[in-house]
Amino acid sequence: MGSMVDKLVEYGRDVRKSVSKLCSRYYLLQAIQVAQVLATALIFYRVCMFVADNESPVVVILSGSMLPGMRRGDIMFLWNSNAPLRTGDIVVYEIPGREVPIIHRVIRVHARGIESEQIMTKGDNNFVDDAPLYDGRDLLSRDFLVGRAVGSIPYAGYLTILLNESGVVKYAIVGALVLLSFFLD
Amino acid sequence: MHSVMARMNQMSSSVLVMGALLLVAVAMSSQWLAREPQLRVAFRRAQVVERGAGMRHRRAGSAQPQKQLVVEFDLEADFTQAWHWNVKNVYVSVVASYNTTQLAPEGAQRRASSTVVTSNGATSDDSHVVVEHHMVLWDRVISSQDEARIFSSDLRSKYSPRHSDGSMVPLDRPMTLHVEYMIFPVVGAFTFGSSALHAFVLNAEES
Repeated sequence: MGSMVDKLVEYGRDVRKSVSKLCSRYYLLQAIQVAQVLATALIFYRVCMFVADNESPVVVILSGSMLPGMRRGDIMFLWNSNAPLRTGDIVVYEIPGREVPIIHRVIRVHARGIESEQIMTKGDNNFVDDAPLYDGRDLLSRDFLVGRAVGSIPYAGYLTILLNESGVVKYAIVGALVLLSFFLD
Repeated sequence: MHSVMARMNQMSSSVLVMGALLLVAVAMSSQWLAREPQLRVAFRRAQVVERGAGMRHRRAGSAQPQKQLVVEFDLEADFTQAWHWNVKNVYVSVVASYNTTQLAPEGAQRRASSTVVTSNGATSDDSHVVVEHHMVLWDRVISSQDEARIFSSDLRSKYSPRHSDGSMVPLDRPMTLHVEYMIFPVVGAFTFGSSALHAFVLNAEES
């Protein structure tokens, strides 16, 4: 029995030696730090999703239809509450079959109660309301809403727009990061 | 320990933390700087006018001119005192509200046994439910403190109040008008507010 424990301890020492030869503690520490940062970001996002009762609690503005309030690249925070919808609220809605959700302002509310609320929306910078975007529906019900905008940070989402829309910028940033990691270590 | 990478890492994280703290401070400053704006709206008159068919109805094959309700009102909205460094712009709108009744959907009829009269004049009983309607008649986005004062008489509605099927609102309906606003900050949470209700009975003239 005793000899088996000794053998196991010996084996453990061998493994430890070979691991410490393969990768230094410095690299291990770096990998753990990167994993920690990623895990923290993921936990933060998941907590936001839970608190805001919303699958995308943060959205980036892509178009200018809500100018001058919302500019391209601004970040909006969304919240889902059971409070009645009001005119003037800014909502994000998603029509099945359309790829990009739309963020516009409520200009009409018809309600028999919260469950049966029906709304018409319009972009502040548009001349006409959103009826042509509703794919034949007269009004939108709550089922189509992703969330209600409650706050914003200007330009904070511009990097994601650059990364998504410009291949040159995307590869330049990724390339620069790779080069940096090679040359600065 | 003091490699270029470590220095850059420290610096970028410091910049991010300081930036985030600055944004939170600016956003929170709105709580202390906020002042109530002065708001008042009064109904003047309403008339029904005939206009060319809108794009939606022309597409649907109906080129008939449409009857539209135009509401005229006086508006006073002064945001000059409410303006501060964290205000990017203010969305101000005049909203008309009224109630109608409609047949209750089967199986969802109201349990109330007596007839209910709401403040906006619609009555409901066992077989009917009250439908609330809120419609923006006029709106404007104010982008600077210089233009943050609106004193206008005889403003006309920009949007014709109508139901989802294109029909006009009932012309003999008790209604209310009120001013709503939304302050859009540079950073932080939106602020909503509204004026007192101005009640009137819509008696529209045909032109």
